[in-house]
Amino acid sequence: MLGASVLGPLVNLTMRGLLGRRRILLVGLLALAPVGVAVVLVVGGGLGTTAQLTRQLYDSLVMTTIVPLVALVLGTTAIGAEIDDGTVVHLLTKPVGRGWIVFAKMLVAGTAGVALCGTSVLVAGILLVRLDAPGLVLGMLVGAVVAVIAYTAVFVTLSVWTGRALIAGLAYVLLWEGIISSFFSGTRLLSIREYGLAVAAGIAGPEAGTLARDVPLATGFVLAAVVTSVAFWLGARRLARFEISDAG
Amino acid sequence: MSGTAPAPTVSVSAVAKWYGNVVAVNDVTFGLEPGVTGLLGPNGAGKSTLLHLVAGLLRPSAGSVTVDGRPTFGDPAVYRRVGLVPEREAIFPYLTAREFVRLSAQLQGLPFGSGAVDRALGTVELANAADRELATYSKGMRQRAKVAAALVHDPAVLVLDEPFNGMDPRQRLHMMALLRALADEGRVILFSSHILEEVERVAERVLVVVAGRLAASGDFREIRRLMTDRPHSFTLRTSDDRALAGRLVGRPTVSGLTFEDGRLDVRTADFATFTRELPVLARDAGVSIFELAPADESLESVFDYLVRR
Repeated sequence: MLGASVLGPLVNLTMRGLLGRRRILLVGLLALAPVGVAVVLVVGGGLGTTAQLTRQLYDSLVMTTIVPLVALVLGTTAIGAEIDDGTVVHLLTKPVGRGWIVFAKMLVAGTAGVALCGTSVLVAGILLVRLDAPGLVLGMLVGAVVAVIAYTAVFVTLSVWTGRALIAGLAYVLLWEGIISSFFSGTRLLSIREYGLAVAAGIAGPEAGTLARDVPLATGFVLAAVVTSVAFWLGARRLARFEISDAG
Repeated sequence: MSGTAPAPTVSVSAVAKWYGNVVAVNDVTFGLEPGVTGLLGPNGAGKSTLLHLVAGLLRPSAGSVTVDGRPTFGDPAVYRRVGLVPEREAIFPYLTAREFVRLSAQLQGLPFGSGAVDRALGTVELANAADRELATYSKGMRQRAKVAAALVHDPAVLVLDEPFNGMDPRQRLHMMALLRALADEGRVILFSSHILEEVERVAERVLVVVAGRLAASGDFREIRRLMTDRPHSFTLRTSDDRALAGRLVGRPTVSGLTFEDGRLDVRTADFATFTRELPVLARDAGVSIFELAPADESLESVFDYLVRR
């Protein structure tokens, strides 16, 4: 079976498939929303509590909505669209390890998510706190990057497992992370958002303020890495047993 | 294909595929040898399911499918020997045909610049349109692009699901000639069709699938003879049904006769003799035949007959 040599063609194909779709424009606009909010806040004044405002924006908008939704669309489009329209058959009828296919999809979706969300967090952070709180901006940036990588890995795998990955992903983000995790603190250990926030707070150090979490920085990193690795393993395993049928 | 490569062996043994309570394919056994084999059956008979089982895209619920002794499902390495042309038109619309075939070559591990891509595009007569996006292609052209992508690694086994769909008559003839040429090089070609004449023109062996079961298999001429020699029904409208019926009823070739609604229905067990005798009998009886129509010539009735045998 072929190995790493197929990664280039697979990445290239995935990039063209992803970037060629109209929904990538919507994802781009969604990702840039925090920058828009930051511009409004800066122009509108009220800069007395900028660092606290930044933390609130990050906690309640970026990590709750923007990062998971951007990752959801990218992750489910990367391979889910090919499964939906049947083009995945052209990949599955090749002597290519299924892990490479899943890896390429996660790599492209994850990189696009990092580029979009990372840029957005960095620009919005600098606009709001300028260079007054560099630790906070760096923490938010790394936290968002860690979260978007884990989310996209999970959503790529979800779309290999189910044709309703978008709904399942939304249910996870809105119900599990949005509602259940806020009521039952124990479930936070099963929340990618919490891993990202733990990383952000850990790196921000004393500048973390209200972002501070019970989960230590290293634990946030390790749990996000575990979720990403398990998602990859499950995705590759599922694709290796994937069945395709036409009617008739 | 290299002349020294061993001939591929494709074996389907007691294979069944079911989805919940629905049985798509039931207890099917056959082997394939180099040459063209047509998989014939009405729509919904299980042809695609069977092809997908052979191509390793479906896991058999029972039985086994092997190529060169290796199970096809769950073993991507089998695609070094197998090429598949799926029926679904799904194709990456943003790629040109050349990029699509090149992608196939890259994923097969073919060395860059080996000429395989140009060769495959030339084989399906797409060289001149190869740099156009697939989104701009007609259905027939997309079909040929898929064939080129499936052929680029020179597979020993080529599986095609309804390959003539969407092709115009000239493209159809070209595809038939291509399949014959590929088979003459020692490949195993298996293709499905629900059109008898397509299979007749290109396949030397045939597998007839009806309702998920293998109804008949073997040499096409033998199957054709079975189809021709089965009991036939004809509907006649004549100047004097009763007079003609009087003549017909004494003939051993006629196995049944009915009058109904001003028409004469005749059943015969010997198609060839009956069609020779009928005009002679009508002339001798002074009866004019206004209409003679086969009552059961649909493919479904042919398939039903084969299943009941």
